[in-house]
Amino acid sequence: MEIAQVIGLALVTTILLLILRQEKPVMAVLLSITFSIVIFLFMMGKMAAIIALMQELTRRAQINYFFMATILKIIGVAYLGEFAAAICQDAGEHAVAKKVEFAAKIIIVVLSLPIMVAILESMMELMV
Amino acid sequence: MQVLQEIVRNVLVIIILTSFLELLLPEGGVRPFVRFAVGMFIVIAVLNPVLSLLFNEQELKLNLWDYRLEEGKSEEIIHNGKQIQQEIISEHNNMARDKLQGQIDAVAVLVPGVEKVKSRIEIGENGELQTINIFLQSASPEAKKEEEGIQVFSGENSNLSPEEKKLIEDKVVNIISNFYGLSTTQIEVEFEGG
Repeated sequence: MEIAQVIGLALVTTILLLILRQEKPVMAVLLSITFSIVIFLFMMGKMAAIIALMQELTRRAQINYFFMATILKIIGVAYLGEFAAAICQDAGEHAVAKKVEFAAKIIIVVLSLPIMVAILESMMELMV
Repeated sequence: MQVLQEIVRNVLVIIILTSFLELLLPEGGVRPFVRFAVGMFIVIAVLNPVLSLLFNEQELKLNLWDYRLEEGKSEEIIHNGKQIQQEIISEHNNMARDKLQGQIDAVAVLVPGVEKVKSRIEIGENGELQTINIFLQSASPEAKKEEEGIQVFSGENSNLSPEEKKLIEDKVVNIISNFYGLSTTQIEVEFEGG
C-alpha cells in the first residue's frame, strides 16, 4: 500500500506547509523540496520497472534503443523541470520557474535533434 | 509475407509502447515539447521497418546513429583489432629493422679497414633497439696496398692481426653506439672468416 504512505506523507506535509508558510516561508520551501525528493526516491524502484518493461518492448519491436533512451531522457528532463518549476512557483518565484521551464524546453529540443535528423536523412534518401 | 507480418507485429508493439509513453508525459508547459519528441519517435519507429523492407541499406543508415555492438561480437572484434594491431606493429618493426640494418651497414663500412658489413638487429616490443650484431669482412692487406687497378675481395680475414681486428671492432662499436645512443654492451662485432 504505497499509495497510503504517499497520501499520509502528503497530508502531513501539506498541513506543515500551511503552518510554516505563515510563520517561516523559507522553511516551507525547504520542506517542499524535501517532500519532492522523498517522493522521487520512493518511486525510483517503480520507475526502474517501467523502464525495464520499455526496454523489453523496444527490443521486441526491433527499435533502435538509442531512440527509446532519448525519449526516456526527454521525459526525465521534463519531469525534473516541472518539479523544479513547481517548487519555484510555490516559493513565489515565478520568473525563476519560467526560466527553469525554458531550460527544460531547450534541453528537450536538443535531445530530440538526433531523432529529427535521422528522420530527415531517411526522407531525403527516399526522395532521391 | 513473413516480413510484412513482422512489420505489423512491430508496429503494434510500437503503438502500445507509445500509448504507454503518452501516459508518462508530464503536465505543464513542457508537455507539447515532449509530445513532439514522442511523435518523432513513433515516426522513426514505424519508418525503420518500412525502410528496411524497401531499401536494405536504409536501416543501416538509421542504426548508425547508435551503432552498438553485441557483447559477444564486441569481444571478437576487439580480439581481431588487437591481432591486426600486432600485425601492423610487426610489419612496421620489420621495415624499421631493414632500414636500420642498411644504415648501420653504411656507417660501419666507412671505418677504415672494413670492406663489407652485414648487421642484424633485434627490436623490442616497443620498437626500441635491443641488440646489434655486426659481421665484418675486412679488406686484405694486399688489396689495401693496391691503390690502383682491380681490387678483389677474398672474404678471408686471416691476414689481419688480432690487434688490428680489435681496433676495428672498437671503432665500429664506438661509432654505432654514439650514433644510435646505445650502450656498448648492446653491440656485438664479429669478423667473418676468423
